[in-house]
Amino acid sequence: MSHHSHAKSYVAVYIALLALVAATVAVAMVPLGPLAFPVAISIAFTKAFLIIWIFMHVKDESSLVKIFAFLGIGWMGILFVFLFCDYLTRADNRADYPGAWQNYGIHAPAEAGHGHADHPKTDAEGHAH
Amino acid sequence: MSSHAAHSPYLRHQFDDLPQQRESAALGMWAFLVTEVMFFGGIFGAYTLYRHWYFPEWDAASRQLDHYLGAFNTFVLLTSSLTMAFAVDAAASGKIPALKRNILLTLILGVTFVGIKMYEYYTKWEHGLVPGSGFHWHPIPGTPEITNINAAELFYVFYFTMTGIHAFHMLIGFGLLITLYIQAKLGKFSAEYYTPVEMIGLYWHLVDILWVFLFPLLYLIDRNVVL
Repeated sequence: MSHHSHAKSYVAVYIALLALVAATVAVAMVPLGPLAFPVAISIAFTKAFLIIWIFMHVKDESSLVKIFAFLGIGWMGILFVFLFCDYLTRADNRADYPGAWQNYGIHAPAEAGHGHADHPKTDAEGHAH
Repeated sequence: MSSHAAHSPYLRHQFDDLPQQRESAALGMWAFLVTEVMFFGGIFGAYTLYRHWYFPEWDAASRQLDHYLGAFNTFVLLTSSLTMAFAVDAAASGKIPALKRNILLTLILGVTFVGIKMYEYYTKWEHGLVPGSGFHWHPIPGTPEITNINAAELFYVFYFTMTGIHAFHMLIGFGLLITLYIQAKLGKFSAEYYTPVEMIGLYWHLVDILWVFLFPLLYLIDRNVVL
């Protein structure tokens, strides 16, 4: 039984991964504004794919194992799509909205006890202290 | 050497042949890894939501982390993935000394990672950034002020939860690597049978992948200050 060593491709992938780490740190230092997050997460997914495909040798697995290997990301996608279909479309999602829940309950200590008496969480905290 | 001998001592009776036995193990291991992805998925979902809600506070909280240490730890962990891949490669070629050497290297790199992580935890404790009654916010001079201190504290709840669960997975990995090393020393593995090395390798790489996401999400949120 002869095994063809993959050591060379592992080293190549490793160098690519290190280059991507350098890139993601460098990009974080540059003011990209709204692009910063998509760029950082794309680099992370590229690194994850390289590790899955080469280090975890999914490249050489059967179709069934390939499907399993990428199912996790698919299901996480479903979780995120439905989670943010809900939260991103809520009217009270903005911090400047008077009913925004982040104006309740969680305060800097100096602000505690001001207004928002209609919110049960504030009441509960007010009584507790 | 005849390949996949019908009476291989490694073949369990419920399998037709060694490749089928190996693929069953790989499929089962991936099913487990998918549950791990789902487990972290819930935390990543909650992270994304709070990140969106407390945007400036989480920017400020993230800037308190040492991103150079984080980047160095990423380098350490990626290197340990390389040595793990080498270990599997050595096992597949029947090179047991190389297998043992690479398992040890992986273990040393893993311990280095957790050691640096513990040092980071210690500095966060020193700076009063551990959530709870001891939480004290000290803004970095020259960066935007934040008023909602509790939102910054929430960032540190996520920081300690996510990195803590990740470090716990590393500790389990240490136990698995030590077990592999002992088994390799006892001559349990050969070019014909090294499935445990492969499966623990998959686990180790998954822990690496989790860190690949944790690093930018926690350390690199917003390093440049845009006023």
